Amino acid sequence: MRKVGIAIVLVLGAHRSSAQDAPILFGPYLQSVTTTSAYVCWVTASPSASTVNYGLTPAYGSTAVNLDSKREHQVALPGLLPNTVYYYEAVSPAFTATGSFKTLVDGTTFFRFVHLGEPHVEEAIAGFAEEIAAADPHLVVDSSDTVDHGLVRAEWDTFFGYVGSWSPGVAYYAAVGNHTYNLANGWPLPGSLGKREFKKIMRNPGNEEWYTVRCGNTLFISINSTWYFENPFRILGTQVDWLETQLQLATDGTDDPTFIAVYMHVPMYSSGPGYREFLERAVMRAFFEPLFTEYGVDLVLSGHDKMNEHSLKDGVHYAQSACGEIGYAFGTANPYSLFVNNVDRCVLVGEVYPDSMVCSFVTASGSVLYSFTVTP
Amino acid sequence: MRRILPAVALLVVACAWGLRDTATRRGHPAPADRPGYSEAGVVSHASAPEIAPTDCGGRDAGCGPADLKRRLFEETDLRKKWAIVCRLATMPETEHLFADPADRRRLDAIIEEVRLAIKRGELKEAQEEP
Repeated sequence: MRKVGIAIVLVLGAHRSSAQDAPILFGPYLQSVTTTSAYVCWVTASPSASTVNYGLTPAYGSTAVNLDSKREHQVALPGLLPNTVYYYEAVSPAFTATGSFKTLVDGTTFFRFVHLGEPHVEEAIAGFAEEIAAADPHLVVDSSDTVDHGLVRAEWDTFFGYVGSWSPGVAYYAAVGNHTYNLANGWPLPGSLGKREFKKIMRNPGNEEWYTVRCGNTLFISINSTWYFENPFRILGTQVDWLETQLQLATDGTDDPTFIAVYMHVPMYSSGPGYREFLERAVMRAFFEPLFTEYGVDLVLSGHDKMNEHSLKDGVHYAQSACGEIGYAFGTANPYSLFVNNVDRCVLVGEVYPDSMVCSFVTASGSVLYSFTVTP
Repeated sequence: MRRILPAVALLVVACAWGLRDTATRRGHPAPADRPGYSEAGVVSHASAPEIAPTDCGGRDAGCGPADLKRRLFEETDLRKKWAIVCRLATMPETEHLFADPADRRRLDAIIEEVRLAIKRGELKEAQEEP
């Protein structure tokens, strides 16, 4: 164990050195966008304070400043209006960029979202630029794995380069995946060490690991399904308690959402090689599924198995998509599967109407492979 | 020199470990090799449940998947049952161990027992216990 500990320290040291020396510069990207607020974020090689000029026109008119001297620039824009386009200019000594974005909708206003699964910092994800632009989504939710080695900042740099056509203009919410925890050599570090870069780069709500996002008539809930890299009491105790509270609030008769959509990394039901992780998934299903069923969760989005699939069990739609890495062989029998494809990279596009949600698996060439409709 | 040393260290570590964890890089960790688990294979996170190696006869003897399954069904202490489930979850391809529907039902019952105990606060992190 001592040898392993020393080696891990050395690896961390090496990583820190490379992170300091590499010309990392990415963004801007949008985090924690709500109906009334947003964070404009970017990452530079050197720490500094950050400024964002913003407003309803390209002339801006308002200024927000974060005086913290950091490489991870995160500037809060408060007091925004729902479903409104804002223009902004992000400024730090080594960085200037402009963009515009929409705040999330309220009420039952129609909106679209895009779900990413298995980006894995594959260049192929850049090929979805036109499809995502055509969808004109209010938010993108990412079930992860976003990159191969979450502790290597250069991979996040590459990822944001591939999605640079849309990330400055669309709210981006990511979940934790198993590769979030990986060092450069593929070894994961457990617990908070493993999520170090994710939490620095992302600016998600709450504890940034499990959180909710309300957009119009839909409540999105992000949860961490990688309990096996964590203190299991934290993930299966604290997080599950939190999840139940959120689901109770979402069904208590006060401003209840029409739809509840959960996004997480590991699929609960899949035709993939889940037999490799048989007990991990058995435990996950035992802890999460009763809550999904009891509180009427409508849609559970995931990645991990490198395929596109729609399953339906006890009224809950389970969907996984793969826009980057794809092609795991089928393995586990999934009696709830209604559609599965392990050949074509897809994003899942959701169109959310007042009383229905249409989800489509869309390829990089714009073909719709399969659609299903979720009703409350 | 200070810049070179970490890179050399990384190279050494990568050579030692780089190939042994291919499965992890493809998205499915080789669980027995995961860090965060002790040499006895027990979850070694400070707050995770533990079973002593002697509980299953030592690292190499009696600690295989089939032994752990047997112990899981013989064990009466819920904390130890949970530790064994966590241990088995670190092992690849254990589905065949529970292929018998009766075994699967017993396993599901144990997981449900653990779930309810955690929910009720009867099973929690060791350091929080009185």
